[in-house]
Amino acid sequence: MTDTMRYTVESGDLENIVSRLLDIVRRLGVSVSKLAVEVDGGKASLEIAVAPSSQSIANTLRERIGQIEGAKPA
Amino acid sequence: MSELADLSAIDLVEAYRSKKLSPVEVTDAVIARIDASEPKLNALWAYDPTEARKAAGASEERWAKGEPLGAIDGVPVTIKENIATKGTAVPLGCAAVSLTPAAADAPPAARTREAGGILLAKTTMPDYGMLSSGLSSFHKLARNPWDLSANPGGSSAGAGAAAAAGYGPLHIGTDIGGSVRLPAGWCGIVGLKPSAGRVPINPPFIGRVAGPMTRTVADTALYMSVLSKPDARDTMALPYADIPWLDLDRGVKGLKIGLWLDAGFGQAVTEETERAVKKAARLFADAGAIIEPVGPFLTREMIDGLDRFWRARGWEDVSRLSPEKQAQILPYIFDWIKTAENFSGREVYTGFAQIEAMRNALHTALSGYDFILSPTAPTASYPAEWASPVNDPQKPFEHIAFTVAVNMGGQPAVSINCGYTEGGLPIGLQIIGQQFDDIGVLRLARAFETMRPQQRPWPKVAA
Repeated sequence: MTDTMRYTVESGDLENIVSRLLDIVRRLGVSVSKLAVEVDGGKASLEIAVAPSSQSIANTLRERIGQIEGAKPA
Repeated sequence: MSELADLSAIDLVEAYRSKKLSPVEVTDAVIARIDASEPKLNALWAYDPTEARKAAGASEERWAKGEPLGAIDGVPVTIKENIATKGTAVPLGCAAVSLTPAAADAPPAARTREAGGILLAKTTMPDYGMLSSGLSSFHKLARNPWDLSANPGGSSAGAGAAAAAGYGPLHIGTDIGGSVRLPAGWCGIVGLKPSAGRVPINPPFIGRVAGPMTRTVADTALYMSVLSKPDARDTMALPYADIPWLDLDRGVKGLKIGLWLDAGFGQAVTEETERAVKKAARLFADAGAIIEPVGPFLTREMIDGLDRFWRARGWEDVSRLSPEKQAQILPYIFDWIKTAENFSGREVYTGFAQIEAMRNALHTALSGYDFILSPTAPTASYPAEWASPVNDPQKPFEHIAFTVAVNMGGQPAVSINCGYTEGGLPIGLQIIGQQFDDIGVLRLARAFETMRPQQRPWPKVAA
């Protein structure tokens, strides 16, 4: 299954956020089919399309992305 | 030779048997260690060196006659203060609790005395045992001997600190969501959460167990041979089983072991914790075990539900107290449970139902494996003054993801040190076994104890 997750992030340290996002994906062993980032001043919109192997992996991915400071589901 | 206060229970009993040491000199050495360290550590309550010396004298006479009472005769012991000992009050870490002397020994205390253990003191805990911290409205702030600015963890806070600081070899804690294993992990010791019902307790409750906290696996096993004896007062106890507790040395070749590095909710595992646990898993693989990754299987819904149930349970007790008494409770705890004031029956029931969901999830995850390895906690220890690694009463259980499911599932699990942070704080490895396989998790822990790199010297805390 492919799951597309969209987040807005208010932070000046976008590089760190993308790095953390990729780290989370790597740790959970999820394959990414799309990663888009749009920057508008101090705010960024993130869209990530992933293929989690199960619902629990998808839930965990949401939990972990939600823990990135300033990240909110769009 | 090690200092007497640092000797293991196994070594002490052998030295008593061969008349190389006497319980009196060992008890004196442990008392000297306590007197030197306790002003900074605050691990103890109801510390009674006079009674301990008296009991050690009686033990010395028994050994002289070659008639020890049991497996731990003459071995210094501490007991968490929520385990009743006759004549001593049970404050539950909370200033609002009346200090009424207990009428009888609770089962773990009774077994300890029957086997000749020398009770030195009770150990401290936070209010109602509901924090993984040494913070309490009744006791002084307990600290971590590895770093006095760090938290020993909890709720068996004093027991974890006492074991690491060498207040004798045997300590006992209780665990309803990780309260033996978390302080064991953060203090670098061995802490066993036995199978539900393996160690009789009173009062019993869903998920609650008592278990040894020691410096070595063999000492935990020795204490289990004492604590697991039957007691009719525990209405949830397992039937007594004659387990060969000290038959610990088995190979790991061919064992199928899951490696669980993301629980599914709560704090993310730090890189240094993940590294240490993976390194431990590699040692098992090198010894012939088959290691396979286990994905996250717990959910936010599960812990939020259990949190609602625990808040409701706490509020049921606390709401009966006068406003003056309520004001004596640790504000963090009061703020946490007061939110249950207006919970609906549905909110509480759906919370309670998550216990079953968690149990089923762990049973499913364990099927096909002999054991699962995980971090004991996602992070190493945190500031001593904090109530939890997150320190927010509205996010109270972000750090117990790896431990709490095992309480709800009923399986045995042990925490054993698997490394240190850059700052020198211990990192705990949790080994979860199949239901009732207490000896299995101890054997695997013993195997790890022999394979892991040499441990750092135990910390010395001087006043």
